[in-house]
Amino acid sequence: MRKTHGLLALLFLSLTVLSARAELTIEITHGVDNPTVIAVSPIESGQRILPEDISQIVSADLERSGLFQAIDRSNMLSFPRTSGEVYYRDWRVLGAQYLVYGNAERQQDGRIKVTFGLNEILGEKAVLSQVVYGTDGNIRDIAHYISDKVYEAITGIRGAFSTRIAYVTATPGRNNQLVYRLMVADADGARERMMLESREPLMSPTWSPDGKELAYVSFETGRPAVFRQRLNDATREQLTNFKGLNGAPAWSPDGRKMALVLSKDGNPEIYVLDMATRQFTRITNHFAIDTEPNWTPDGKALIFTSDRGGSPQIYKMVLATGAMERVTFRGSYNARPRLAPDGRTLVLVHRDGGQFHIASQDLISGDFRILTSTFLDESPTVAPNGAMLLYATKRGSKNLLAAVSIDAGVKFLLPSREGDVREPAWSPFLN
Amino acid sequence: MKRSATSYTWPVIASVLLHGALVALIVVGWTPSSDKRRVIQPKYVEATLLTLDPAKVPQIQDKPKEDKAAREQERRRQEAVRRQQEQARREQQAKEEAARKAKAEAERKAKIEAERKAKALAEQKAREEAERKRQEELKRQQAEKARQEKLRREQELARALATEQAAQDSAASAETIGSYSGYIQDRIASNWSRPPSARLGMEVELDIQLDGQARVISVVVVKSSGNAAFDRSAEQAVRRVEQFTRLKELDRGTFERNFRRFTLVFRPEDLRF
Repeated sequence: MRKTHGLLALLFLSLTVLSARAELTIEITHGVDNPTVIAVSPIESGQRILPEDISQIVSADLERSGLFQAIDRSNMLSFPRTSGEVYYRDWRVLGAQYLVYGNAERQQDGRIKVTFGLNEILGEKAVLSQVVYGTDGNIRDIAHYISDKVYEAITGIRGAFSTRIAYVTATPGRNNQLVYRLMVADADGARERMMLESREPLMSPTWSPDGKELAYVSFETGRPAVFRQRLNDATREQLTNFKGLNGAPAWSPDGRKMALVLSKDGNPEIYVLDMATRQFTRITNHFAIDTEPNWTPDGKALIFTSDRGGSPQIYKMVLATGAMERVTFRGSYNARPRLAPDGRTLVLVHRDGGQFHIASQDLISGDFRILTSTFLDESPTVAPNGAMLLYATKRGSKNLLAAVSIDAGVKFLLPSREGDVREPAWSPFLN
Repeated sequence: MKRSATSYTWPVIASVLLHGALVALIVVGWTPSSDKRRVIQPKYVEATLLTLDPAKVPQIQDKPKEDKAAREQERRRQEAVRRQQEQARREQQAKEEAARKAKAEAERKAKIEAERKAKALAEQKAREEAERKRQEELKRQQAEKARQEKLRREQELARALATEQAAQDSAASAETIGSYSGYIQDRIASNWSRPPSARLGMEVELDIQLDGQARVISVVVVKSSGNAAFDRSAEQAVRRVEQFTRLKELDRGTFERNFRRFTLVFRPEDLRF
């Protein structure tokens, strides 16, 4: 009884305390998602000028993500190298929310040691502090690494600046004959490397899950065939040599299988190739075209395009059961599906009133939005962190690459280069 | 009454004894001192007087005595008269005394009565006074009660009015608070850049403290969303506002009560997922 009273008293007390605590609560349910203003103080070595400007690369990386707005170096009032040298007022007046600073030291063995940090200006506190080593040859890697860490600290999403992109270029060569090249570059387009050159069309490059190989379609044999090629030594292997269409390769998430399209049995159907046994398993069996397969992140299902319903739409098939379901219903053209790493954001090419745009559809909520406003957009590919996607588009008569953030907030064109750029493929995380 | 009864006892006894003694004297032949006037009237005395008054029997009996005896008789008679007179006087005196005593007694009684009456009167008066006072007190109490009641009613009314006023005030105040809360919402929302890792369903609760000039002096995460970037974006949204300038328009009390310290809950609803 006494205990009960005590409890009641306690309850009453806590209720009183609760009610006394009841102060004004304001809910914020909307935001503007403006870019975060960030300053990257020059990261330099005292003794010798570095071959590349780390800070500029970092600034550019962050800005290109669309989530950041970098403060121009010429406006900076000071160049701190350590957290202790940061005078927050200097950065507040510039409107900076974050500051990246660092110091590069050349070591006895010639390596470069970069100590960098990230401070929050308004909260006046250090968010991040790290050391990274590199050489004169991979300053850009150091810079992308810093970008990744800063991006992750601020956004909560793993940075994808150290990833690469593969794409195909077609440039007029001698006799005005097109020369096709399979290229790989840093995600920012820098350090472009040619993997393959052909007078016959090259198509559909795709990355192996470990990021060490590419698969693609080459017409070099006179008809389309799927090849795989190692990046480091350029060794290649032909995977298919069937009559008719051989295309649209897609590595399974575990790398053991490859989904592709073959028309060897009449019309394009989806097959799965076991990389170890070289056995093909037919997945679809329909008189309509089934193409552009893509794996779900768990590797248990395929997403693909089929016009079995009368118009190209996206379907999903669970491999274990063969259960099939149609995924897209909006409009009369939805094709070239790619799933973001979250497994629920589907990006695709959507025809809207004669215009082809990149659109996204949430597989759970059904939320559908058109992400691009450019013309003849095609071949979307999602960054491994799911934040951005690249696609090919046309400006004038020229094909080029453009990027858009997955929520359509940021759009930009990649630096234009000679010739057409097609079919981008974003690599998985490489480190 | 008892006292007055006893007060008569002694005079009555005395009177009886005196009368007895006088009779005894007469019986034993006490001769009063001679009376000169009686000498000339012996003849006449014999016939009539005896029957006239038994009291004059001794005189008739003395009459036949000789001169000396007559004188003696007269003397005795005179003595008796004198004694009678004395007796009468005494009786008179006793009577007077008695009367006096009675009177005194009566007076005393009267006095007592008067006193009693006076006392009773006084008591009556006191009673009446008390009653009057009681009545007055009652009246006063009733008046007081009425006054209290009136006061209570007035207070009640005042309270009701105050409550009503307060309700009106608080309604007005709630409106004010609502409007300024909206202002705060707008200011923060327009400064809130969510990280791409922000998701529907995330929620972070911040405790905000402002100084007297409505400048943000403290931002504390009370309940984290579990996503550091999201939490920080909310914190920054507040810090970027720096000062809720319009809150300075508020009257001091409203500001102190509601906006000096408040809670912000960030719960995105406009995200894709």
